[in-house]
Amino acid sequence: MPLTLIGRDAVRAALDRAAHAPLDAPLASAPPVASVRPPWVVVLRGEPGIGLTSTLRDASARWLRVGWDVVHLPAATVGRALPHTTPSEHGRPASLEDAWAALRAHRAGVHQGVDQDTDAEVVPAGYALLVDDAQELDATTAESIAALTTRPTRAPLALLLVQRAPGVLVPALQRLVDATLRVRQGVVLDLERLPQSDATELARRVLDGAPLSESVAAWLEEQAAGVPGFIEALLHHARDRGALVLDGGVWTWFDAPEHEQPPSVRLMAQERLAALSAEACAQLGLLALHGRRVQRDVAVHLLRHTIGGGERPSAATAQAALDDLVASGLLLAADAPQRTPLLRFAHEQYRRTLADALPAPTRRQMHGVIAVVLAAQADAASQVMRIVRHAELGDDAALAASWKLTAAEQALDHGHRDAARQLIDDALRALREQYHASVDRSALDTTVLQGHLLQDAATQDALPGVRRREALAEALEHHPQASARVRWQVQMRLAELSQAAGQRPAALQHVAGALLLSAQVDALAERDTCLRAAALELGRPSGDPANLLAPIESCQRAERLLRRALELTPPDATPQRLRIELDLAAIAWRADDHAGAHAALDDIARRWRLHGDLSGELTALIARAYRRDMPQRWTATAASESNVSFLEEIRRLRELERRRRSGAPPTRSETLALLSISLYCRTHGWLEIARQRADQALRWARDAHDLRLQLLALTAVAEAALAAGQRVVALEAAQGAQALIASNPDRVSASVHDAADAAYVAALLSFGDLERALTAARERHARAEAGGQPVRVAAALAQHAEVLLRCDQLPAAQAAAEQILVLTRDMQGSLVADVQALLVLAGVSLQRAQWRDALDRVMAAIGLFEARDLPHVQLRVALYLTQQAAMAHLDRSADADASARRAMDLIDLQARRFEDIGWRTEYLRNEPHAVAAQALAGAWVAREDVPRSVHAPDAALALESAGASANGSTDATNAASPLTARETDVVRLVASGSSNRDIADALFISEKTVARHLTNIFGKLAVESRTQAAAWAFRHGVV
Amino acid sequence: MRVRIDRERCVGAANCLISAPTVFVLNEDQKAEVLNPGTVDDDQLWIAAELCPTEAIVLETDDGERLYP
Repeated sequence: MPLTLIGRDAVRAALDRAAHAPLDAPLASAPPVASVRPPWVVVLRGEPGIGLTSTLRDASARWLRVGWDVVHLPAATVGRALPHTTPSEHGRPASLEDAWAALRAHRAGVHQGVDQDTDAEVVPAGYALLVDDAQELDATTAESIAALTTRPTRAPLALLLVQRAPGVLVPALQRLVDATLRVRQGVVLDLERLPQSDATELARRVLDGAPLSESVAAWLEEQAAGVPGFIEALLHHARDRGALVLDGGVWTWFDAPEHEQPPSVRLMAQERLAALSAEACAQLGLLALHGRRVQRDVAVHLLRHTIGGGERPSAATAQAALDDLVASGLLLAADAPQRTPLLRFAHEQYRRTLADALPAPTRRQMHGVIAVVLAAQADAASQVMRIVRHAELGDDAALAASWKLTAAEQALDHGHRDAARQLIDDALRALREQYHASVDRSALDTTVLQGHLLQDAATQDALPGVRRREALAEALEHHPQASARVRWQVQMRLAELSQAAGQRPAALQHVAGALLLSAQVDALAERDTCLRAAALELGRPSGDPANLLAPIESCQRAERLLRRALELTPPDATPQRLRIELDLAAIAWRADDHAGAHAALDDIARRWRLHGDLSGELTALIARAYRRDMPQRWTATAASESNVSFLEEIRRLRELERRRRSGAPPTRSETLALLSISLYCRTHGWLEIARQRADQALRWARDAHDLRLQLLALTAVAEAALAAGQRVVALEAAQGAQALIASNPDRVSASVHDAADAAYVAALLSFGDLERALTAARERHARAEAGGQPVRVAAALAQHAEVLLRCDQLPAAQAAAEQILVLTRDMQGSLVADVQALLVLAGVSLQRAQWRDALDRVMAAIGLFEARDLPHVQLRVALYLTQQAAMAHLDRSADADASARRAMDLIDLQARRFEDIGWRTEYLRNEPHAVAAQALAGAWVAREDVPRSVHAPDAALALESAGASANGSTDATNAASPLTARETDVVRLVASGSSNRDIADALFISEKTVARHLTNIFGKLAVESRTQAAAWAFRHGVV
Repeated sequence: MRVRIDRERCVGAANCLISAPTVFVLNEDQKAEVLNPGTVDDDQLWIAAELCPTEAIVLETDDGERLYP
């Protein structure tokens, strides 16, 4: 019903003004209150009296003048005094309809007199109903009024109600509203489509605190969900009452910024607000919660009113409010981070008021509900402590404890270990108390175990592993009903702790437990467990390309686990799969399936390449290189069979990787790569390649104009040339380095300088230029002393001692060597310098014919050398040669022969690795150790007492080179044996009729190796069968 | 400066045992380990790292910033 209520005082004032205005003033265009459009309901309160009656009369007169229908109720009261309104002769009309009908008839009569052509119904300009006593407004009348508003003309309606007695007005209005709702029920029931005007009416009723009929109350209840029109109406009416001001879109007390509002004004506004009914406040408060822009203290005030205007509401009210809040989601909506600070604040106030108002049990319940609801939120993790607090206030100890653990976890993640420990201790204590009272323990068990796991993580620095393990194991035992996942986690942790403590059996046991549980958890857990178990069996983490040392049975178990892990790994998870496969390849290698391992590693490298992962490919190649080197380091004679080829491939990939990163060809890194390969080849006896790579590095270094690289390369060339017996090249390179140093004295680091000096001294020594060698060695030594680095001093001193020995300055050599041993006594790990010192001391003893002493020294040196597994092949040869000399003098000819054999095998190996025949000859003729070894072999061949089986294989080489070094003539017959010692052993056994298996057993090698040796032998001897090979052996006296 | 071995890169070529014998040692599975880096100067460590054929020697500042490779 389009009724507009205007303030009583304002209406009275307006009507007063109207009463004194000239009668001919057009009232319709000048309504009583400027801002309010008709129709109006004007309520006049108080006892009837002159003032009121005259006011009514004046109003009627004015309305009648502008063409309105004016009806008096009851007609008898006022009508008599107002002859121009309701026909007084009818007395009180039976109904308002009758009154309107009479009026229409009367007006029609009047109009007929004026304009007889018109028989259409004359529509009044408006309707005015003057009710002398509000009680007179019964349901029928109300309905009749309401019906007026549905007429298409929608003429304005004014209603003047006189309140003659207290308490009669409200029921009258109620009837009016009810009638309106009845008439327009189709609309009313559809709340969302409630016209603004109807919403306004209801708002008015609410603001006045009118008791509501059932239907209206129900309607209002639904308004709590927030019908926009209604809420707006509420706010606007609050404004009309002077309670609120809309200022720049924000509802506030007063139209001034908050900080400028004088307290008195605010107080006044608060009083006005307080005058609103509690229900109105509640509605407005909810409105604030809905996120309307309401000034902070307005919101707080309103919110307080929603549950009783500051007074303690009844438990039922509070409970209802709580239920409402939870049900509507409003309780938590304000916690969302995107909400405005004001809203959060308002919410907090609201909850606090609510909490204060509730009786303790309900309050606890409220907190419990809040905690549960918060915990179920997606962003629960970000408000853990709130949940904990609510859960605690809500007496939900288990929930509080569980969220305390979450908080502890977060604290741990941020490194707040103490805070985490405190939280965990609290949680566990609370859980213990709960535990005894609880019936269903499975959930508690899970939480408690989680707590123990966290406690373990939090105390890892504070407690020894043993204590942590005990605590966890005990917890696991006492909480058997915990979830499979957490028990699995505990088992995994226990395995980890046991492993860290070196208790492998215990670790395996725990992993086995974890494995059983993991199937109940998920595929990922099972996969992790399999990998952990495999790592435990293998004794190292997954993906390590190193060789396995674990027992074969462990490896087999690991293999089963890894295969299972592979099954559980998605087919497209290439990196994870390849890492597992790398372990499987290592296991194949461990099981002596070398071909299988190689094929697997090649495949892995290929798939990394397809995957576009250079570093993965590199790892696979490295694993391959690593697998190849160890058994063949001292046997392979073709570079393609050795690690050299892999190192070259690795070098290529390294460069590829670098180029991909930097985009430019990096000369420097490539030069270093060449130098590293040169060093590897030199120390491993690939002398030709060592020289070539050093030369290449030197060219790169020169192109790059890099002084340091040039010096390193020149030194590498000199060292490689020396090892290959190329004295001239060595000296040139070493002198070149010296010249570079001399012209750039300040730009060369001590290490580079020292390395160049060492090469220079060695080159001089190779020419027998003892004088200059001694000077250079002394200078190197002095420089090292000045540098003050004991390691470098020891190395320089070792070379100095060696030169002194060559100069026959035995006491000085001995003193220098002994000084080295003193110097290195406190150094961890032994040094090349130690070995060299012992070698010098052995040499001194040999010179002094102190054979026993010489042997002791050299044995000590060999012990050191082998303990470190140094690859230094030249030094190794020197050791064996010295050992041979000492043994020979002590008449231990068999031992001497064995030493000689070792030295000659190494020389032989290095010689065979030359592809360039000229370089090979140069090596055999000029390299001092090679010469010495051959001299030994020559002497050996001449000896009658040496069993052929010992000397035969090397005799050929010995004679070949001995003859060559003597006067260039060689014994054609004996020089023809191209076989290595091992190959000769194989041929000899072939000739004796042994099968490959027999040969393998006799020589402690694999059958595959035997087959490979045979292939090489057939190739070298140009034969095609075992019989032909045996014939060759007989012909050449091998057997 | 700190030095460590990238075990996955190490193939046991033992160049480091030649370049800086007090610093590196091969363990039982033929992988290098760092023994006593304080016995040599940084330059020597640089040479050792640069001459490792698989770049398995990693040099870092004391703050953990990688210097080489």
